[in-house]
Amino acid sequence: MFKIASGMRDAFLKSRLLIVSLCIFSVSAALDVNPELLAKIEQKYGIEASVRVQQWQKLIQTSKVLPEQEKLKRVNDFFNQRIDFVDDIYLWGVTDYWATPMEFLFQGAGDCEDYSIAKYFTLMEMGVAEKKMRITYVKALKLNQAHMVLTYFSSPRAVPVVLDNLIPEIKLATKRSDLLPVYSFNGSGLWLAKSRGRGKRVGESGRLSLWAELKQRMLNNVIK
Amino acid sequence: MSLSKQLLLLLSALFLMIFSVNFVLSVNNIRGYLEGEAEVHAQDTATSLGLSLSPYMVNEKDPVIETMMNAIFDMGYYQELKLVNVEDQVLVVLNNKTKVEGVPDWFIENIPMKTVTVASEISSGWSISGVVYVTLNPGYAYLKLYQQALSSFYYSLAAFALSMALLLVVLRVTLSPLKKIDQMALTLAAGEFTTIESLPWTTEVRNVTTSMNMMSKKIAAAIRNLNLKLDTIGKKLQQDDLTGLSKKSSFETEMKHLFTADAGVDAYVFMIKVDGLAALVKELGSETIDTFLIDFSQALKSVAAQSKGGEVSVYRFVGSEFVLLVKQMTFEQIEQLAKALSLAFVEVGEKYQRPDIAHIGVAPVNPIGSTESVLLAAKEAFAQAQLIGANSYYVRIGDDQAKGIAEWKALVFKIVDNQEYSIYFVDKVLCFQTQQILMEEAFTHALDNEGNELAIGTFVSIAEKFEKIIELDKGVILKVMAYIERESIAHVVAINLSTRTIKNSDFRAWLVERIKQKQAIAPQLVFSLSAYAVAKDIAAYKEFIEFVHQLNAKVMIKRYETQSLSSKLVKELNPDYIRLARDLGQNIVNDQGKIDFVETMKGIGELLDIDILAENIASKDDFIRIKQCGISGASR
Repeated sequence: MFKIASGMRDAFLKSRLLIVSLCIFSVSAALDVNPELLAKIEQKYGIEASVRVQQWQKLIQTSKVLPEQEKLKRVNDFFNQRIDFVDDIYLWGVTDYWATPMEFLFQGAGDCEDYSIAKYFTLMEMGVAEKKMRITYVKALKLNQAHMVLTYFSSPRAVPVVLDNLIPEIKLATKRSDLLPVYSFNGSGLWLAKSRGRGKRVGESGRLSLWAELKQRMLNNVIK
Repeated sequence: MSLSKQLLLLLSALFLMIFSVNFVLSVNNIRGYLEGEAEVHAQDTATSLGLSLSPYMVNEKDPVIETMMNAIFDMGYYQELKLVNVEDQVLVVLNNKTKVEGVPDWFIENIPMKTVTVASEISSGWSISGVVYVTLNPGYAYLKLYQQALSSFYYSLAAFALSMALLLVVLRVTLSPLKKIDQMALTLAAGEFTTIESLPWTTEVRNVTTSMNMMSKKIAAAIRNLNLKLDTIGKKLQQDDLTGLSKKSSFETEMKHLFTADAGVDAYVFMIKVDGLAALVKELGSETIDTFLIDFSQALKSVAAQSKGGEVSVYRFVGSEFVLLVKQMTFEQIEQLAKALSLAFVEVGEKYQRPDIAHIGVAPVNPIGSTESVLLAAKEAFAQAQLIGANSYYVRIGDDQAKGIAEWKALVFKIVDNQEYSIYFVDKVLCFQTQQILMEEAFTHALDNEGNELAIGTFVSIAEKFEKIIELDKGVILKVMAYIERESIAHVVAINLSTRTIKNSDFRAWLVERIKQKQAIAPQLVFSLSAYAVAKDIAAYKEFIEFVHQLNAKVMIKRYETQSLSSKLVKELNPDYIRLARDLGQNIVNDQGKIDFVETMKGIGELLDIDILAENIASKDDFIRIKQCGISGASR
């Protein structure tokens, strides 16, 4: 299953926003999903959502000590197997909706951008360095559609592996003849521009403190 | 410092602060905006350049890369473009350190703008191939900031100047009533009870103005009431209750003046007595006698009014004794007047079936004589008239005075020229409050060729008549000044001045010079002016009093009684002291009218800031009583 994106540009913009969210989460040493919060999630999104959040927390906690290749596999499997691909128009009632990783988990559904961002975020929580990961815009050749994947570079010059929601396995990029890479972005350079694009206040304060503030805001939104 | 200056300074400081803060904030805001825009611009360039370079990064040596970067760099907005490969090795770097003209160095040093450098990663295929760094040239931002700061500064300056101008106008308008109030307070202190007609619009100032107006009106009303009371009491004191004629004290004042200021004027005194008034009272009864006396005085008044030429004043001394003071009439006119009176008496007599009711004795006023001697002469003439017949008169012809006056003149000239006179001090005025001497009066003392004491009244009147008085007055002033210095006295000294002296411009110039040399004692000099003389020439005396005040010296109006000078005029003249006429203090203990008068004068004195003094209070009881009236002091 994959999402039919409305266009390359939308996918590009959407991914930027998600990276922003991801960066926010990456700052937290430990995301405190306490029983009170879980109760609220359950009340609002149902028991399944609450279970998913707990399983996701468990995944992060138990996989921190594993080798990176194993971390990649577990995270790729967790999202590919537990989350359904659903187009934004059905899920959110709009053609293009920028769901946060938390919303993605609560809903248990999302499109290709949501998968990539959630994986990126989760890996960062597990301790994978930000510089090793890129959000890559690709063209799905067989489908002739804009698509998005997460790429992992074991070293700067290495050929990356691709974490994709179209196929269950993680493969070397060179083995993915069905995908044509277009461009990749690092998170930190993008989030500033994206935040401005969304009318967020971006001032003199350091990014870290601003991210921390944004994280808190996102948590508050969940509780609401 | 004036209130308006203080307010102006305070508000200017506030305005300056507001405009300065506003200016700094505005420059900072522009700087922040420009820095933000620069970052957006740089990021856009980095992203676009990264996307453009992406296909060529397969071969890091491809000259297209540098060409493409040059094309962007040559647009001139950038300080540095740098491309590094994935190992952070520099592939291309382009620099431009040129400074933008039109921005002074001090501006750049004092208002630093951060140089924005942004980066964008470049990928080729699945691999990351490098990073492009973009640094904008801050010169353009500086130029814009400088222009904005300049225009902001000029606008602030203009707004500040305009605010100041407005402030100045508003302060002027708001505070001008205070000046008016100040002026009003000064005029109030000076005894002018004005009001401010146009009320200011500032509530507080308006309230103060209204209160001041009310106060001014109240004081004016109080003064008016006091004046009215004073006039009533004064008239009562000076006039005979039954006939309405002036009393003996008025006659004496008039005579004194005749001997001094009006010296040389021909005058006659008519002594008229109703014969056997006591017998008449027994016969007719007191009520009829009153009517008779009224008729008699009416007859005197109407004859006096009908007399031609000259000036006739009628007085009732006691009971049956009446006196006419006639000025500036020829001997013939005097005879005609006496005859007319005689006829009038016949008429009055007929009404009461009395063929002989009164006689008239006429004597001329001798300028070297005294009131007593003139009255004595008139009485002698009266005795002569009694011998002549019913209701008849006798006119005493003046003695041959020519020789006497000539002798007097020579004596006076000699004494004044050679300064053979001395001064002595009498009438020590005791201050009731401190029991200290408040004032003493300088009197002239001179001896004739035989070493006998001269009658000083005559001496002065001759000096006045022959214009020697100014010299005499000057001499007295010098002696008084020397006395004050020599004795180091603390109280003031009164010096009598004649009308001729106060009008003389040489005297004034002389006085200015003398006082200039002895400024310290100027406040101790009190120039004493008789109320009677002042009343005769208000304008000249008013001007003289102002002149004296400018010299820091003082003025006293002596022999004050309402008949000669209204209290309204006193307010205008603004003397420092008023010494009440001697008569007012005599037997005051038994005369409620006099007590009322003195107390009223004390009230006026307090309002107009004038010390009221009394003179020659011989009796102890009178002294105690006049002290109770609350005036400043009195002499014994």
